Amino acid sequence: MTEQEIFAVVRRHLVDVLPDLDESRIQLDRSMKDLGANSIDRMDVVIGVQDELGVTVPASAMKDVHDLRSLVVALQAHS
Amino acid sequence: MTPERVFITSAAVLCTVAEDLDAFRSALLEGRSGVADADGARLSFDLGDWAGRHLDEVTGRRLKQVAHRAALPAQTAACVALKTARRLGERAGLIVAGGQPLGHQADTVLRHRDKPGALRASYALTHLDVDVVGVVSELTGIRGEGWALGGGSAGGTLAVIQAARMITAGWLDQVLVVAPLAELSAAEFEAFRRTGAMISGDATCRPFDEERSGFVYGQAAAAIVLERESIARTPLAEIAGHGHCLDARRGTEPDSDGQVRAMRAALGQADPAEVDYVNAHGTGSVLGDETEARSIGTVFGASTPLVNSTKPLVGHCLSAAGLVELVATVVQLGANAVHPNPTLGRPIDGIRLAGRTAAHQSVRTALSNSFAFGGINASVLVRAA
Repeated sequence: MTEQEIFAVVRRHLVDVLPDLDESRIQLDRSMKDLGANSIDRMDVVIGVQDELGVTVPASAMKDVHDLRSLVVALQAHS
Repeated sequence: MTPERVFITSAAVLCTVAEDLDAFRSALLEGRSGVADADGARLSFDLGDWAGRHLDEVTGRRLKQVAHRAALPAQTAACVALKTARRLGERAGLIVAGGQPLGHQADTVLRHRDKPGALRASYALTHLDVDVVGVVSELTGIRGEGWALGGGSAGGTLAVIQAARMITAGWLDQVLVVAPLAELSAAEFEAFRRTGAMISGDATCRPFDEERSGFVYGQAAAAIVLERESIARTPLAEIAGHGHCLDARRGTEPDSDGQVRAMRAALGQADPAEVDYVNAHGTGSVLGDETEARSIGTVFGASTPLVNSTKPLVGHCLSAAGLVELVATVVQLGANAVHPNPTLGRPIDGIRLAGRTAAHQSVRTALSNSFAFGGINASVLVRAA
């Protein structure tokens, strides 16, 4: 899958978890925390995206995730 | 110093026949039934559009933000809590009756067995009865105490009793009592059927009828605000007394002695002849109705208040039943009418039952009964404000 396709899935899960989010704010250089997601929201997005894409990113690789770009990169690396 | 009296100052209901009190009054007095089908699957209120029908845009957005990923019981609790239209604060408390999302829990467990990777972290919140406390307190601003109170089929009534006590004791000025929809999984449905308490197939719920064969499940949520007298600006009714006692016996069988003690405690110093109307627990179960009729006969003797059961109309709402039926009682006080027992054909002896059409008469004082497995008996006396 391309980065774009993975990002589209992340975007959809973020909107589902944060219904009030202005979608134009979902940019690769933003973190989920910036966008208003609390720790459980962030876990739900990551789990939901992994489930939909059928990938599992090990916890060690998740440590380097600090924004949506690095999340997409980690997801792509393990798909 | 005499403790202050306690008043119901706001009420809300969400059930299959009504989404507000006016519609609830009409449905009750017409004897219109909205009970679920045999699998309890029908949910004829649509929460998806509820906010658009009942809230301004800003409040509707807050409801979605706070509650949209909670389980169904918490979502229904959020709706009725907002519908009471009270902003509460430091001296306000919250009591949630029931709130366990049994269907959501069962679905999640089954999915988890098949697909463990998909389990959402937020299930740590959504499986809890206290998630309802979190959702409702965020939406209403309550910062006093918050409880999730269990009591089986008497849960709604026990919550009201506890709330009234907290105000009488001077601990709180206001208490929001919320009963979320009581959600069941397929296992609880089947177990209720196997006890013989719940109707199988398409039989009709017929409380106090010779042909009765059990209860029918209902889905409803309700909320009331209780306030101490000196701040109660919009009193709907007074909580004039309450009784709660146990049979000291585990199990499903009712005990007339406990029921009589609960009703007498609720009456307190009041003359039984003052009571115009009894909203019975009246599930339609064979032994339960017979026992309750005997208990009402013992308490009231010759004074014979009119008796009905709301359960053929809204179903047995289990942990929400007591609160839904208290709201039904308050609505009937306001309307000076007793709703019909629309499924009554061959009434059992010993009590004066409402017929198949509404009885328009003075309804100033009423008793509402709730009983639960585990030998729990509860009764609340309400008086028109």
